[in-house]
Amino acid sequence: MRKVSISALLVSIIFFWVACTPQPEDELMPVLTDDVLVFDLPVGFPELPYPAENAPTALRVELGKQLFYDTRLSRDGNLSCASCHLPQHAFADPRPVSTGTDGREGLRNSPTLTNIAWQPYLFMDGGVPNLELQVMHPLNDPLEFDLHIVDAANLLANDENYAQMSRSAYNRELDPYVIMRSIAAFERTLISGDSPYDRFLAGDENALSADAQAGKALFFSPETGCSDCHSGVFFTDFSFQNVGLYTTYEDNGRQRVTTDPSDAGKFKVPTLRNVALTAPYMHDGSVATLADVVAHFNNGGVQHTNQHPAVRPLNLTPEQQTQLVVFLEALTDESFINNPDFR
Amino acid sequence: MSIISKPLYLIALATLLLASCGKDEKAVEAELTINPKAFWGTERLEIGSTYSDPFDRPLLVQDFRCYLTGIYAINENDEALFISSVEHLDFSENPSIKKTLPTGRYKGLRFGIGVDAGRNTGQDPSQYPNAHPLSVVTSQGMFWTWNSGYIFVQFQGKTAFDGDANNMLDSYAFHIGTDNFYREMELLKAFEITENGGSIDLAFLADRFLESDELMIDLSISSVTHTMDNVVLANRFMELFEQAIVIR
Repeated sequence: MRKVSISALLVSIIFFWVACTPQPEDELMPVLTDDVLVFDLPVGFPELPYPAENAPTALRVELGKQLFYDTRLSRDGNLSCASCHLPQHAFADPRPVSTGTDGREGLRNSPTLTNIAWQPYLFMDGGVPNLELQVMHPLNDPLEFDLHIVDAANLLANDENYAQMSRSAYNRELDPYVIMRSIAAFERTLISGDSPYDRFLAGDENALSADAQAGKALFFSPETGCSDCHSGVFFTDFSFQNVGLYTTYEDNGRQRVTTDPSDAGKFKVPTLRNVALTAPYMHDGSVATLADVVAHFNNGGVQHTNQHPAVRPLNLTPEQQTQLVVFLEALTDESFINNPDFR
Repeated sequence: MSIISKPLYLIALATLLLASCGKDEKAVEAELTINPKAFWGTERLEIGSTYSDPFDRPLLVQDFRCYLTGIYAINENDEALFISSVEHLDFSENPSIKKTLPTGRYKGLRFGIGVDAGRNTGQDPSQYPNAHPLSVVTSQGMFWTWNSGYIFVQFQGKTAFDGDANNMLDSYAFHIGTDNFYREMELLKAFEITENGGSIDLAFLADRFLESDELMIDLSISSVTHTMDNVVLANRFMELFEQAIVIR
């Protein structure tokens, strides 16, 4: 008995020593689990939506983040998702339209990914019903990555890091299914709701300046009608609207999906959270600054047939226009753009 | 005999007889092979070859693919016998569709051109196994990521609006899709499946994609449609396309 006990003790010591000694893989890989993540959502935000087969786990989100920043997803190896969705710009692009493989220019301004999880459909025309499917588009698009997702998956399949993470996260080899789901899982974590405006609502009366508070009052007033469409916690009702930017639109927006002429020139109402970081504005990035945007709405647009009735001459004073801009700037969430989890 | 009672013996005998009768009545089945083939006039269409359009302009065909869904054979009792739920036909290969069916005479085929609404929009092609016609692998170039639906028919290549066959710089492309363009059709042409099987050609007469007795497409006027950006051309092409499919 005594011999057996000593042997057992020795075996146990060796076992625990080995188990506790950091292995090379431990040094490379963060400790990740496949438990579904629970997010501390901002006040007033609805529950985080996600498809049943793609519940966000630490493994999936980490895999998606690494893919989001991986330039091997583009044919020329120069572009990643982050090339056109820059963290410091609230995951939008400061250029009017993004530049794709071989310098090819895109057709629309890259939108912010702020709170993208709650978007009921993707793209400014709403053509794509969920984030997972959206991931396919930039890869396959000749004006963006120009690398079919099947080819991208084949290219990355030999990456041992991805192979291991893919098996652990989705119990399958890295393939289009995994690429689509993991990037979507990461994008769903891009949650932003800690702006001065939010702190003001939470009771911090100093969070908004007097101008910002005046701008807030204007924003939510029937006189401006801004909040007719930019409503709710996300500052959008996700509807499609024509804001009278052009008399004839080169890009017909929502009509591309519905073919309905009454949808010509209509684009999805964008969120205004972090809007001060996402210049330039409008679907084609043709409006340079927030002040220009406010001026456009103050002028009442070009009176397109499909123009939203709230877009009409507002007769705001220059001071009021400035106050609106100051309020919009107060929707910036610094903790969001500086969050190390997103980089 | 003492261990099997008489009623039990009779039941067993009746069951045996019934089972053997059932076997005799079972219909004989054999394999039907449907060979989708593309033609230009009387010639087989070759992807990568150049033909002449209705205006005698050169027409290089670089890609011709389509989806068929809900394929049935119609027997002489007007019953529809299932053949396949969905097929991806790539005419750069030699596609064929095989199905074992009861022997006998048939009146024709019923199928849909394109992908039916239930399997079209909002579907995720990465969920299918790679070999599936709707998978992300098979549907390469036949799935619209901007609108999340399949391209039902893709016919495209190069042409020269000025007729110069040595300098084909103009593109033509017919990418037809969206639920509104799904077409169900019934082709009546008698065929038979014998004990040795049966074989029919489903012919796609590509020269008629641009011209029929009533309709014509002048590529120099309009040569590209991704359906939503040129619904007029998409409608015209689809009308011609439907008329250009025959059983031979």
